[in-house]
Amino acid sequence: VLVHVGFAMSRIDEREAAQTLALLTELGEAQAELAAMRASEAAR
Amino acid sequence: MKYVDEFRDGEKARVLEREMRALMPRVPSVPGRKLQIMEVCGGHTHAIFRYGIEAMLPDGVELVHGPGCPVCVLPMGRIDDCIAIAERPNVIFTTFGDAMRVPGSKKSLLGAKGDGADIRMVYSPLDALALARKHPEKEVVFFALGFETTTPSTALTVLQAEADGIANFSLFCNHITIVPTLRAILESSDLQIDGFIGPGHVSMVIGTTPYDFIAESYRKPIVVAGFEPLDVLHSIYLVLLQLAEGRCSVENQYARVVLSAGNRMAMEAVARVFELREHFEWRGLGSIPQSGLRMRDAYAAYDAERKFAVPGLLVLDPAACQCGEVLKGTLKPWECRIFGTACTPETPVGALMVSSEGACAAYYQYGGVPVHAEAPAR
Repeated sequence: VLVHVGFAMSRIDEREAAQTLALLTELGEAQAELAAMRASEAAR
Repeated sequence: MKYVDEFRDGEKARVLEREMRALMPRVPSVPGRKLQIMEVCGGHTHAIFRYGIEAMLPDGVELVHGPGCPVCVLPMGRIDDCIAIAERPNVIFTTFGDAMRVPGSKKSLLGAKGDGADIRMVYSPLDALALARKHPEKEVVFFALGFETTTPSTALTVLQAEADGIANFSLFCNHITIVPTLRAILESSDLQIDGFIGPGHVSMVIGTTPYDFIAESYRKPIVVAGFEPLDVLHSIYLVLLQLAEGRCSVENQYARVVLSAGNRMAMEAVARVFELREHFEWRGLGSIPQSGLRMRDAYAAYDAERKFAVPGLLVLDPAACQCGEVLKGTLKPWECRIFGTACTPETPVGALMVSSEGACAAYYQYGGVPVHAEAPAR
């Protein structure tokens, strides 16, 4: 839970936390793919 | 620590940095100035400086540090009122630590404590209530301040005092609300904000629907954000993405904590104990209609403003202090004529140098002054 000045204010949602991180991982993977594509184009 | 370390991952931060840069050609630029994104909440201001987020922003984007530090926007006169209450012989005055150094017109609460007033720092309003239980011969007053994040805790403490029949406990209520403040910022002619990073903890209480007017009436994007560096970067990216796609909506980046409907129990407790004031005076922003809360008549017995006479004077900030301009984002902290010289965290002149959430204290602590910044000519 998230506690503020001695009061539990919210329950942290594990699934939502994982989704946010997964989204950022996907962005990173897409970037890496794009970079690899550009590199192979440049090599041709 | 879980939910903390994962959101401080440096590799993911660099991914977001590259994504933002790649977006920029699609983001409409504004002639003559940079795009301005305001982080409303002082917690975000602190995170931005602590993690060096400004250095990761693409060219053409700057952050404006908003008024969401409750200690910073409190006018001097209210500190004088606190001291007037605290100096009464029978009072134990309790406060969160970050309000201790805020200067009043003559002294701070810390100064008043040095002069003999019984002023004590507490972590929670419940600690103040415990003091009232322990000292039935004294009047225990709690300095209630903060946005919607903190308001439920003081409301619930008053309800607890009522349930336990504790009569020697009261609040000096300085709670403020976020929506009228955002409206005042959007209506201000000094400010041209292109998008907002919405407050995370306030939204955990009120939800995200109260911000709909920002997208619907003012056509600005707002993204409610968490407080870790990836949260802040991700939210800035989402604001830029909305601008690039010509959209404006309320988005929730902090869905692991914030529900769109907020926390109903917390809001019910607040509505039972508090009502809106017609006006509330803000440091730097002046008087904003319906932006402050007072206690309902049913809880007058717990209202320090009615229990004790408070001077209630309007006191102007010292002439040298430019907190008002910094709060409005029209001046950068280091451009203030007394930043880091007459005004430091040790001897603050303005409130923004006091709290760790204040923009000036954050700049001072984390060295956010860009090397190319020229000394202001005044």
